[in-house]
Amino acid sequence: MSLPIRLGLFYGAIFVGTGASSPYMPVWFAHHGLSLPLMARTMTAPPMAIWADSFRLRRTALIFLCGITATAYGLMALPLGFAGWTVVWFAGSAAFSTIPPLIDVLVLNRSQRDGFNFGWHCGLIQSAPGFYYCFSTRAWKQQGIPESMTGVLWGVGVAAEIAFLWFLEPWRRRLGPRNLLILGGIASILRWTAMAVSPPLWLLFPRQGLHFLGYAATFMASLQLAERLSTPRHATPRPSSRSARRFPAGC
Amino acid sequence: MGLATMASGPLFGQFGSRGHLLMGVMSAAGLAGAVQLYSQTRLDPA
Repeated sequence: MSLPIRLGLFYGAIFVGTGASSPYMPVWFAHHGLSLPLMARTMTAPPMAIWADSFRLRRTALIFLCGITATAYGLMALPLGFAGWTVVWFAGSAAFSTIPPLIDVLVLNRSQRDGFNFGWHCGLIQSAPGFYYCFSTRAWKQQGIPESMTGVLWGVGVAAEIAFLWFLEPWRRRLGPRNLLILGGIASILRWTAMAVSPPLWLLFPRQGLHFLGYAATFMASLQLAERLSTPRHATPRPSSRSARRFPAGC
Repeated sequence: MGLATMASGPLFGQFGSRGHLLMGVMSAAGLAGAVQLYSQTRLDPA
């Protein structure tokens, strides 16, 4: 399996848990009068990044951080009570928040060395949902949208992604990665600009539907671009092509 | 993604829902970079 594909899978793996917890954790903590665990990550990330930089190999730090995150998130299943869960969540999310910048640096270094310097374009479009993941639920709540609709709205985005990966594979192939990336960028601009003006509930549904272009399509485009722009030494064409073709099912 | 997530807290505190506009700006920057990929001949259809 080629390096870009492996890195893509790593990104997918680390964000699976975030995707599931992001809609609800901020609201749950806010319900208990706390925003500290989420906000505190902004304070812990810089010193943790400095600590991570002290390792000779960044992957060593990544292994430690992934281990801490997995352990802490696993402990959330125990009946620790709110105080215990808060401490464990804080530890897990503090460790997790350092992983994406580290892997970003690693990927950028490798992309410069190996020649798949597309990273910034895809990365910018794909990084944009950071605000949405953390605060969309609270923003909707402030807007007066019932909490019961939050899961539905997030579900619409996920369903659109699944539909894209399941049914639109031939269309994606015809379009090609560059056009797909352009569409993803346009969809993202439309989506986030609409979100900023607090649209009514009915408009949120089509807006959430754009998630498949802004995220899944951009991600698929990034994989294809990685494969095509990598140097031959790191792009084992046939196996990686097969992996990329299988990836939609994996997603 | 890490930087965007780190920035999101202060952004929401300061601007609330309008913080999404920064995401739009990031996407626009990504789109501008993506347009440059059309100059990459290696990506042209065979």
